[in-house]
Amino acid sequence: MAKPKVAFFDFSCCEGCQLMVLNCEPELLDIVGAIDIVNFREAISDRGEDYDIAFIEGSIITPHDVERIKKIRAQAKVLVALGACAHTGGLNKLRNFQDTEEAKQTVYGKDANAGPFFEVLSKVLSIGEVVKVDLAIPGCPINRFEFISVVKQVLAGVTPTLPNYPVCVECKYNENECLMSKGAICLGPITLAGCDSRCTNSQWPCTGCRGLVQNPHLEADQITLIKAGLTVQDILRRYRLFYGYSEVVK
Amino acid sequence: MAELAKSLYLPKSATIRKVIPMTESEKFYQLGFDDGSELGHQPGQFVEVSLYGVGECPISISSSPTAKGFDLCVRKVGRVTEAMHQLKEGSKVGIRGPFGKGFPAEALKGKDLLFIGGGIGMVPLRSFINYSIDRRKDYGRIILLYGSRTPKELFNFPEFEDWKAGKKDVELSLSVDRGDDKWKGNVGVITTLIPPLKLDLEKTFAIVCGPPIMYKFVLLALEGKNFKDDHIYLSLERRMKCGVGKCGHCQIHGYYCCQDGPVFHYPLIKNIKEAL
Amino acid sequence: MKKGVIGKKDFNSWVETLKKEGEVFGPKERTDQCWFFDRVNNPAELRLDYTSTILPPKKFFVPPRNELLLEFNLKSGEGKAGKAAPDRELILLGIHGCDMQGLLRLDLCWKEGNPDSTYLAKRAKSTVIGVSCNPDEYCFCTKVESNDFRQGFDIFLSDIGQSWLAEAFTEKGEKLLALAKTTEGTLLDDEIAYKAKARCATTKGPEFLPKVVELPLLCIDGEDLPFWKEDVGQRCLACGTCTNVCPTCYCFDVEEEVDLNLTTGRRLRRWDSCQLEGFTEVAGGEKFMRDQPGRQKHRFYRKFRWLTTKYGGSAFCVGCGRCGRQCTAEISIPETANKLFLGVKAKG
Ligand SMILES: Cc1cc2nc3c(=O)[nH]c(=O)nc-3n(C[C@H](O)[C@H](O)[C@H](O)COP(=O)(O)OP(=O)(O)OC[C@H]3O[C@@H](n4cnc5c(N)ncnc54)[C@H](O)[C@@H]3O)c2cc1C
Ligand code: SF4
Ligand code: SF4
Ligand code: SF4
Ligand code: SF4
Ligand code: SF4
Ligand code: FES
Repeated sequence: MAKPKVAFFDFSCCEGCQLMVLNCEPELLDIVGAIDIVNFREAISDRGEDYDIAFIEGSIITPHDVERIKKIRAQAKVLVALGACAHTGGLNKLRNFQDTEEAKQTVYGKDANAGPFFEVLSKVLSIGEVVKVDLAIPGCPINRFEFISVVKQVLAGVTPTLPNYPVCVECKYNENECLMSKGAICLGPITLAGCDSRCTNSQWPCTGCRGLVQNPHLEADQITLIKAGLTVQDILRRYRLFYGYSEVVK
Repeated sequence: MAELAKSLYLPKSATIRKVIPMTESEKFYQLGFDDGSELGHQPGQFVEVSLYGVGECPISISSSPTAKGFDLCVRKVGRVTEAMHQLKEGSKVGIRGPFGKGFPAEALKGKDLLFIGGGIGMVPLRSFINYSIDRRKDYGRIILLYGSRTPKELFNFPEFEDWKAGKKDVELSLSVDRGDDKWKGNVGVITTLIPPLKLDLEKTFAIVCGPPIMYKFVLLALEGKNFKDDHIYLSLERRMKCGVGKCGHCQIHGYYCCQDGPVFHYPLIKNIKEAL
Repeated sequence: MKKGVIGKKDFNSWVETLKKEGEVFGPKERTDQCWFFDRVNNPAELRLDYTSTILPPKKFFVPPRNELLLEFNLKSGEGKAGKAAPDRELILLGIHGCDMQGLLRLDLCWKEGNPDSTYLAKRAKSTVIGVSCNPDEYCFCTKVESNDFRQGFDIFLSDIGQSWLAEAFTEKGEKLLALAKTTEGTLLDDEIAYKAKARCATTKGPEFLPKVVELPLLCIDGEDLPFWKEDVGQRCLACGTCTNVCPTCYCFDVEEEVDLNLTTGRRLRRWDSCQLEGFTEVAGGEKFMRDQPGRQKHRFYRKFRWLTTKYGGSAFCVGCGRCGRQCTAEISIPETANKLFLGVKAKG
C-alpha cells in the first residue's frame, strides 16, 4: 500500500492541538514512517496540495474560512476534526453568546472593522457545521494517545471508535477521589471521556472540554450542582464554556 | 489452565470459501475450519466472528448442521461487519462457538413448524428450515412467512428459488412493506400473513426471529389465532461481547441471552418487560 | 487453624519477609482520609486502620483496563491467549471481610459455566491476609450478612492494641505466619480480637430496613414502584462510578489495539458498567435497557435477586458502602433498599 498523504490545516484556534501532535515524539517518528506529511504548518514549511487525510484544527469564523474548508473537503478522502475548536467549536463558541460587534470591539478595539480580515460570520461554526466530518478527535487540547490510536485505525482501514462514556469512568479507573466530594464543581459526569481524566488526575475539576456524552443526564447533573451551591446562572456559565455547540445551553 | 484460556477467548481459524452478495448491505459467506473439523452446532446457535485488529461480533449460523462447513450472513452496520464485507474468498477469520441455546429441534419432532422471519431474522431460521428439510420424516408441515422492507432486501439464499417453486415442501409466503415495479406479491407487514393461515393448533409451533419491533406485533397476531404461549419460540438479539455468560451485556433479568438464549421459550420471558 | 500474636513493633519486619515470598499489596493513603490498595514498598506506608479504598481488590484480578486477553499477528493471522498467571504469588495484606466476600462472589461467577482462566489463574496464585475493620457511616456488611472473618482468608489479623492477633486458616497462611515472630495469645487476647471484629456490627451504619433474605421477593413486588422513576432514576447521572467501585461488579467490554507497525496487536478487556447509556445498545440504535430507572433497577436486582437466586442465596452486595460513599448523586444501596421496603409495605 502506498503511504497515505496527510495534511494538517488550521483555522481559528490556538494551534495547541498541532503542538500536541508534535509532542507525540517517539511515536511520531513511527507515524512519519507510516504516512507522508505534505502540509504541516507547525512542523514543515513546504506545502503540497495533494493529500488523502486532512486533519483540521480550529473553528470557522470568516466567510474566507468557509471557502477554504470546502476546498479541503473536496480534496480529502478522510477529513478529521482535530480538537474541540474544530469538533464542537470549543471555546470559540463563547462568542456566540455575545453580540458580534461588541465582541470585536472588546478584542480589537478601534481596529475592529479595519480590512477584510475582520469580516466575520455572525456565529462561530464548528467544522461539522460547514462540511461533512468523517471523524473527530475531541478535547482542548487533544489527547495525544487518542490521536495516535485514531491514526493507527485510519491507516488500518477500520472505523475508529471513541469512548461513549463519561470522564467519571476514567477517573475511577485512575482511582481518584471524587473532587465533588470535596466541594469542587466537576463536569466529569456529563463530559465525554477519552482524555484519561487528565484534569481530575491532577486534582483539577473537569471543565467539559471534550463535549457532552451521548444523552447526558442534565437534570440529574443540575440537581447535584445546585446541591453543591451553584445557581442556574452559574451552571449555564460553566456549561457554556465547552458545550456552546449544544442545545443544552440555549 | 492454559488450555482453558484457549477455549474461552481464543478463536479458531476458519477460511471463507465463498462470498455471495445478497442485498446492498448483506453478504453471505460459506466457511470451514482450517483444521478440517466441523462446527457441530444446533440450529439457532451463533458464533463470535473475530477479525484481529478490528474486533468480534455475534453472528447466527445460517446453515444446517447436516451440511458441511457453515454459512453466515452479515449485515453491514459498523466496525466489524464493515470489515467483514471487505473480505474475499480465501480470507481468514477467527471463530468462537457455537454458543447459546438453539431451537428445540428434538422436542419439535413430529410437529408442524411455522417459521416467521423478518429481515435479517431469516438467517438463523434458515438453519432450522434446512435441517427439517434434511430430516423431512421427523417433522410435519414446514411453513415459512418471510417479510422484508422492500423486494430488494429479500435474501437470495442458494436454495431460495427451490422454496419459491414449492420444491422442498416449504410452504412459503412472502411479504414486503413497500413493493416496487416488479413486485407482484403481498404488500404489507408480515403479520398480515398470519390470519389466513390454516393450522392445526395442537400440532403447530411458531418459531420467530426478526427485528426487535416485530415481536410485539407477531405475538399479537398469534394470540389472535389462539396460539398457545408454550407453542412459541423466539430468537432474541442483544448486545453481546463475550458469548460465554461473563460480560453482562446480554442479560435479560436473570437470563443471559448468550447462554440461556438466543432462542427462548415464550412463557419464560413473557412477563419480563424488557425482554420484548 | 494456627494462632499467634505479632507485636506491632515486629510487624514491619514480618511484612519485609512477606515481600520475599511474593508481591505484597496493601492499603495506603492516597489523599487525606482516602485510601487505595497499592504495592507495599515500605511497610511503614501501610494504613491498616483504613476504612475503605476507592477501588476494591477486584482490580488485582481484573484490572480496570488494558487486561491482555489475546495477542495477535495480522501478517501470520495467528493469535494466542495472554499469559494468565503471574510469576510471583500475589499477597494481599489488609483485606476487610466485605471485600473478601466480594472476591468469593466473583469466584462463583468466573468459575461458573465457562470458567474464565484469566481470572482464576490469578486468584489461584494469591494469598489474602485479612484485617479487622474501622467502619464508617456508609458500611453495612452486617445488614447483608457479609461480616465473615474466616471464609476465604489465608490469615486474619485482629487489632488487639499493641499487637495483632493472627489466625491462619489455610496451609499457605500457616506457612507465612510461621515467618513472623509470634507469641502465644491469651484468652483475653481472643476476647479483644472478638471486639475488634464486632466493630462492623457495633458501629452505627446506615439504616437498612429490609432483611436481606426478603430482598429477592421485595424486588418482585416493588418492580413498579414510582420511586424508581421519580427518585433514583431521575437523580442518577449514569456515570458508572457505583459499578466500577463495587467489589462484586464484573461486567466488561473488549477492545482492540494495533501497533503502529500495523502487524502486531492485542485484544484487551476493560470494565464496563450497566449504568452507562451504551451498555445494551445494538445496531439500529435499540437500547434494551431503555432508561436510567431501568438501569438502576438492573444494578439493584442483579445484586439482590438474579445472581442471588442463581448462586444459591448470598446477596451480591457485600455492604462495603463504596457506591454510596462515591456517588455524586448520593444514591446508595441502603437508601434504595429502604425505599423499596417502605414502598412495598405501603402497597400492602
Ligand atoms: C445472537 C445474535 C445473532 C446475530 N446474528 C446476526 C447475523 O446473523 N447477521 C448479522 O448481520 N448480524 C447478526 N447479529 C447482529 C450483529 O452481531 C451486530 O450487528 C454486530 O455486532 C455489529 O458489530 P459491528 O462491530 O459491525 O458494529 P459496531 O461498530 O460495534 O456498532 C454498530 C452498531 O451495532 C451495535 N452493536 C455493537 N455490538 C453489538 C452486538 N454485540 N450485538 C448487537 N449489536 C451490537 C452498536 O451499538 C451500534 O449501534 C446478531 C446478534 C446477536 C446477538
Ligand atoms: S472528580 Fe469529577 S470526573 Fe472524577 S468521579 Fe468526581 S465528578 Fe467524576
Ligand atoms: S478532564 Fe474534562 S476538561 Fe480535562 S481534558 Fe478531560 S474532558 Fe477536558
Ligand atoms: S454512582 Fe450514582 S450517579 Fe453514578 S451511575 Fe451510580 S448511582 Fe448513578
Ligand atoms: S453495591 Fe455498593 S455497597 Fe454493595 S458491595 Fe457494591 S459497592 Fe459495596
Ligand atoms: S450488571 Fe451492573 S451491577 Fe451488575 S455486575 Fe454488571 S455492572 Fe455490576
Ligand atoms: S455476551 Fe457476555 S454475558 Fe452474554
